[in-house]
Amino acid sequence: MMSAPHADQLVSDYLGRLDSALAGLPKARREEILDEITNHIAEERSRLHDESDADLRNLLDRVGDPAEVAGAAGDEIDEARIPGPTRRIGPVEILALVLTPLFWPVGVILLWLSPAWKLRDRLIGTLLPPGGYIFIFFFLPLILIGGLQPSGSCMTVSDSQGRVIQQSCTGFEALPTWQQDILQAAVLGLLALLLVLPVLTAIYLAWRLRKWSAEPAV
Amino acid sequence: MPIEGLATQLRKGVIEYCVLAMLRDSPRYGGELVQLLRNQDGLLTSEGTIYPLLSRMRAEDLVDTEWREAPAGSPRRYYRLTKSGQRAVVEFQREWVRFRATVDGIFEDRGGR
Repeated sequence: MMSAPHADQLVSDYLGRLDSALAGLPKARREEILDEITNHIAEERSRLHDESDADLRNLLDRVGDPAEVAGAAGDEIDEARIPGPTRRIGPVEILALVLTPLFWPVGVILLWLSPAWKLRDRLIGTLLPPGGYIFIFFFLPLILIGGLQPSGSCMTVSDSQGRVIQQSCTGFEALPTWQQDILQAAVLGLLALLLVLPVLTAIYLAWRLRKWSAEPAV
Repeated sequence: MPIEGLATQLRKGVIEYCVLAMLRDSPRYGGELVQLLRNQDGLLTSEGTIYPLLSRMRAEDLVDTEWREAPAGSPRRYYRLTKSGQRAVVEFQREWVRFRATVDGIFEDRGGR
C-alpha cells in the first residue's frame, strides 16, 4: 500500500511528461488526448482493489512511455511543423490585404494573383467599392457638391412693401422639408458607407485568408 | 530490418483499420477498445497509443464521437464509424485479402513456381 498523495503524484508526473511530449500538436488535439488518457488511467485505477506502488507503475507502463504515446501522433507533429508550400500566408497576401483598400490597382492585381482567394472573394475585393479609397477620394468632392448642395432654386415675388406674394421653387427646393431631410440623410449615409466599405471588404478578405490558411495543404 | 522493427512496421500499417473494424457493430469507448486489443497478440504494445490514433481518425473524419454517461466517474467519449470510416474498413478488407493471398502465395511456393 502507498499513500494516495504519492499515487496521485505518480499519475500527475506521468501526465506532465505526456503533455510535454505532445507539445507539437495543436492545443485542442493535445487536450483531447490528455483528457482521454487521464480518464483511462482513472478507470484502470478504480479496478485495482489494493493499489500498490508496483500496481500503479505497472499500469502506467502498460499505458506506455510518454514519448511512445506521443509518437503515435508523431507523423502529424512533423507535418504540423512543416507548413505546406501552398497554404502559407506570404508577403503577396499581406500586401493584397493592405493595398486593396489603400492603393486599389496594385492590391487587386495581387488579389487575383494569390491562390488564397476564390473567385467570389476576388470579385468582392475588386468591386466593393471599385477603386478602394482612391476612387472615394477622387469622387468625394463631386458627391459632396452634388449631394449636400442640392440643385434647385426658389423665385420669390414680393410686393412693394416687401411681403411675399408668391414663391415658386424648382428641383430639390420644391420638395417638402421632411423629404429634403430624408434625402440629405441618405446622402450622408451613402458617404459613411463608402468610407467604411473598403475596410469592411479588407476585413472580409482577411477572414477568408485565415480560413484558407487553416485548411490543410493539398 | 531488425525483427522488432518489422513487427512495429506491420502493426503501424494495420492497427488503424483493426480499430475501425472493431467499431463496425457498435460505438465503443477507448478503454473498451484497449480491453479488446489486449487479447490480440502484439497489436497494441503501449495502450495509451490508441488515443492519439483515435484523435487522428476523428480529425480525418473516419470516426466521430458522442459523450455517454459512465456507471461511475466522468462521462465517456464513445467512438463510432462515419460513412467514410465504413468505406475505409471495406476497402482495407478487400486490399488486405488480396495482399495476404499474394504474400502467402510467395511463401508457400518458396519463392518460385
